[in-house]
Amino acid sequence: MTGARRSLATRLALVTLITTAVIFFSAAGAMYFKFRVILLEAAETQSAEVASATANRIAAGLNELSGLAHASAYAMASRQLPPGSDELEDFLLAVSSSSANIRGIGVSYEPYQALPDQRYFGISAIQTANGPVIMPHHDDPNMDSYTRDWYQVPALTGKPFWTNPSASLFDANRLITTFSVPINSAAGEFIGVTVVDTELSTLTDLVAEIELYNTGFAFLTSSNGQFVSHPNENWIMRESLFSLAETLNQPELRQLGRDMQRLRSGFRPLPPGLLDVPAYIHFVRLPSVDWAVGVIIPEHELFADIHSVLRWVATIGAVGFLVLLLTTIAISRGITRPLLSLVSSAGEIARGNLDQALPPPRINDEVGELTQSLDEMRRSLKDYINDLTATTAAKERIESELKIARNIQMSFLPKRLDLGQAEGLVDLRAKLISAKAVGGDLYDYFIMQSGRHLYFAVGDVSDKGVPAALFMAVTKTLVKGFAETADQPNEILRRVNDELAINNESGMFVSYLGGILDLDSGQLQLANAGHTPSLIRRANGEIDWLKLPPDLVLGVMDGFEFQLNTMQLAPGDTLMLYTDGVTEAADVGQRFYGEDRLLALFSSICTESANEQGQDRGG
Amino acid sequence: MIRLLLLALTVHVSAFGHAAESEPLQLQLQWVPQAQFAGYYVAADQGWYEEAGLAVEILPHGAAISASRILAERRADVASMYVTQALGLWDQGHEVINIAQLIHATSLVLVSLAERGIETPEALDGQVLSRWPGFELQPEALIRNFGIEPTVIDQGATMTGLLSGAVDVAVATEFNEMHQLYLSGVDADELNVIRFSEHMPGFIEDGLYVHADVLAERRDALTRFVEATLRGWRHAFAHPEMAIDAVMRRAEMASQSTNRAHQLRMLETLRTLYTDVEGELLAPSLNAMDYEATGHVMYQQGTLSRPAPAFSAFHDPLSWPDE
Repeated sequence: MTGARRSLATRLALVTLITTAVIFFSAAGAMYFKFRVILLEAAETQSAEVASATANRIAAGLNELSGLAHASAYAMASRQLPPGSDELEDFLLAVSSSSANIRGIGVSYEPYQALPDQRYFGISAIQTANGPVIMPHHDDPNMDSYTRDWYQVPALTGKPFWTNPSASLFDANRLITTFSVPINSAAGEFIGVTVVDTELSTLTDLVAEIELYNTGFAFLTSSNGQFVSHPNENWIMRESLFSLAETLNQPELRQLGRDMQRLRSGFRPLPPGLLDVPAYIHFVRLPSVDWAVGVIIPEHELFADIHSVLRWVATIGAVGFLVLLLTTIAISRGITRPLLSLVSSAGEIARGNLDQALPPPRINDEVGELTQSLDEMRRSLKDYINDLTATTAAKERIESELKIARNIQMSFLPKRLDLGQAEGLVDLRAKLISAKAVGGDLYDYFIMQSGRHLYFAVGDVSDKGVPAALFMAVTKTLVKGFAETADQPNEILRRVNDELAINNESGMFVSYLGGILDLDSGQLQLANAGHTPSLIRRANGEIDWLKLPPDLVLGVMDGFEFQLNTMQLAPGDTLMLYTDGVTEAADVGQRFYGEDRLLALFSSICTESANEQGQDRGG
Repeated sequence: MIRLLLLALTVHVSAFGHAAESEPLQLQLQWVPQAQFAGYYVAADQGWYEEAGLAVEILPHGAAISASRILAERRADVASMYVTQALGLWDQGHEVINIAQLIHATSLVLVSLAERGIETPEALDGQVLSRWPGFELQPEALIRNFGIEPTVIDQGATMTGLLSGAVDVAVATEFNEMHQLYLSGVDADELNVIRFSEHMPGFIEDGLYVHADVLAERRDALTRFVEATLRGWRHAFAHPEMAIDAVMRRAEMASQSTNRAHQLRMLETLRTLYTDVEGELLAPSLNAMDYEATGHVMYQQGTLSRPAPAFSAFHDPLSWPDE
C-alpha cells in the first residue's frame, strides 16, 4: 500500500475512458478520412468540370479567331486580294468587324514579296472606338517584324502559332495575344502570314469569374508558365509559376508548372506559395494552345462540411465522455464504498477486534458475498481463538503438573553418595537428562546396611512420561525395600520382578542392571534384567564391553530367576552404566549416537574422575 | 527631417570636397532596366554620385534605344556598351575611349534543346541558327573558325523560336536569356550550351565609354564617376536583395515585365563576370589581348573598314593600373 496507488474508482474510470476514447477516435478518424476521400473525389470532379468548361470556353473563343485567321490566309493565298489593293483593305475591315473577339487582323509578306521595291509590306485593320481602321505597318529597324514570334515561328515551321500574351503597345494594362497562320501561294511557296490579334480580357474574364466554394479561384498561365490571369494582378505578365518557385524556393511549384506545360490535366495538393492555406489544384491544358487553366480550392472550404460534422461529433463526444466519466465514478464509488468499509472492518479484525460485527450488505452482489465471507471468517477466527486460549490454558496446566512430576521424579533419585566410612574407596557419579519433561530412566545407588557394600543400578522403563515415572518410582522403592533383606542383586531383582509383575495392568516393564560392590574386597556382583551392556576399563587400560546374560526385563513375568554374575574389580578399574537413551539418541539427521561413539568417548574420559566424567559432553 | 539632414550633409561634403554645385553627368545604359545595371542604380540610390560631386542622370534606356547612337550623337556623356559597339563608333569616326571595363568576358552562348544533341560547334553544321542583329560577329567568327555551315537567321526578343522548334540553336546571354529559359520551365539538363568564351578570345562586354574630348575636359569628374559606380557594384553584390529592389523599381517605372527571381539570378551570374574567385571586384581595366582579338576579328570580317585603333588610344584606365 504505497502513496502512489490509484483507487479502484480512478483506475476503472481511466480504463473505461481510455478504451472508449480509442474506440471513439478510431471511429471518428475512420469516418473523417472516408468522408475526406469522398469529398476530395467530389471536389476533383467539380474542379475538373469547372476547369475543363473554362478551358473549353477559352478554346472556343480562340478557335473562332483561329478559324477566321485560317480562312483569311486561304483568301490571301488566292491572290484575289493583292497587297496594297482596296479589296485587301475592305476584306480586312470586314473580317475585323465579324467578331467581337477580334481586335485586329493583318497580313505581312516576305521581303519584297508584296512590292518589288519595298522590303517590308504589312497592313492591318484595327478596331477602335470609332470602328475599324486600316493601319499600314512601318518598317522599324529596331523592331524588325520578321524576327517577331508571330511572323518567324509560322514562317520557319509552316504551322500556325499562338504567341504568348503580351502587353498592348497602346495600353500596357491590356493583354494581346496573336494567332498567325502562314500563307502559302498556289505553288506551295511561303509568302507571308495572316495575323489575328485578340484582347485577352474577354477570355481572362472567363477565368476571373470562376468562383468555387467561398474563396476558390482560377488562373490562366501561358506556355512559359507566366500568369495571364490571376486574382493577384501584380503577378499578371510578371511572375510565373517558375519565378515564384525560385523566389519562394519551392521545387514542387516548379514541378507543378512543368506538369501544367506537359500534362493534359491533373489534380493534386497545391504546393506552398500560391496560397497561404493548404489547398488543392486542378489544372487543364487548353486543347489548341499550350496554356493551362488552374482551379484552386482551399482545403478548409473543401472540407468545411466534414469539419462542421466533426465539430458536432467532438461536442457529442465531449459531453458523452463527461457523462461516462460521472457514471463510471458513481458505479465504482458504489462498489468501492462497501469495499472501503470492508477494508476498515478487516483492519479491525487484523488488529484483533473480532467482536464488532460487519455491517450487513445492502445488495446481495459479490461485495455482499465478500462481506458475509469476511464476517464468517471473523466468527471462525473468534471461535478458534477462544479454543486456542482454552487449549493453551490446559496445556500450561499440564506442563505445570509435569514440571511437578519431574521434580518429584528427580527427587526420587539420589543426589550424592554418602559413603560414610567407605569414603575414598569408590568414586561415583550419576546423571539423568530426560528427553521429555518426565522420563522413564532411573539410576540408584546407596550403601547397604552392612556399611561395606555399595548398591548401584541403572534402569529404563519401557514407556516415558508420568506413568513411566511412577513405574520407576515403584521399582526404585521396591529395590530399596528388598535390598534391606536380600544381599545379592539377583535376589533383589527376583523379588522386585515378582512384585511388579503382579497386577501390572499397564503392561509396562523396566530394563534394569543392578550391582553390589564389596568395598573391602572389590568383588562385584551383577544381575541384569534385559539392560544394555556396560563398559569397563581395567586399571591396566584395557577397555571392554561388560557382556552379561540379558535375562528378562522386570515386570513382565513373575517367578523369574535372575542369574548372579560375579567379578573382581581391582583398584583403578572404571565402570560405566548407561541406558539406551544415550546410544539411541538421534541427531537432526535421524542418526543414532551409537555404541562406537560411546566407546570412543569412554576411552577418552575413563581416566578422569567420576565427577569430571559427568560433565556435559558436546556432540 | 532626415532627408533635410542628408541634404545638408551632402552640401557640406561637396563644399569641402569639390565644387559647391554638383557637376551634371548623363549616363546611357544599353538595354532595358535589369540587374545588368544594378551597380549604377545602387550608386545613385545611395547618393554616392552626389557624394562624388556629380549630378548623374541615368537616361531612359531600353531595347529600342541604342546607347552607341546616343553617345555618337553626344546626347549622353558616358555610355555603357560592348567593345564591338565602341569599335563600330570608331569606324564611323567617333573617338570614343574606354574608361572602365566592367565585364571581362563574353557571356554570349549558343543554346539548343538537349534532345537535338548539339554539344559542340561542329554539330552546328546544317542547323538553323538564330542570332540577334548586332550580335553577328561572334557566331560568324565561330562559323569561320570551325568551317561549318548553319542556316543563320535573325533572332527576335524572345526565346520562342528555340522553344517552338522554329530554330535549332539560338544565341543567349548567360545572365539573361539562360535564366529566362529556366524560368519558362526548362531545366538546365534539357539544354545544350556552347560558350563562345571557350572557343575564342575577346568580345568582352559591358564597359564605359566617353568621347576623347570629354575625357580630356572632365577627367576628374569621370574618375569620381567610375569610383562611385564600382562602389555601387560592390554594394549590389554584397546586398543582392536591396540591389534587386532598386532594379525592380526601375523596371516597374519602365513598364518592363519581369520578376525578382529572374533579376536575382541575373545578378548572381553577373557576380561571376564582375568578380574574382575571392568575390573581389575585378580592376576595371581592359585587357589588351581581348581588345586586339576583337578588333582583329571585326576587321577581318569586314565590320571595320580599317584596322582597329591602337589599344592605348582606345583604353584610358584613368587612375587604375593597367593589367
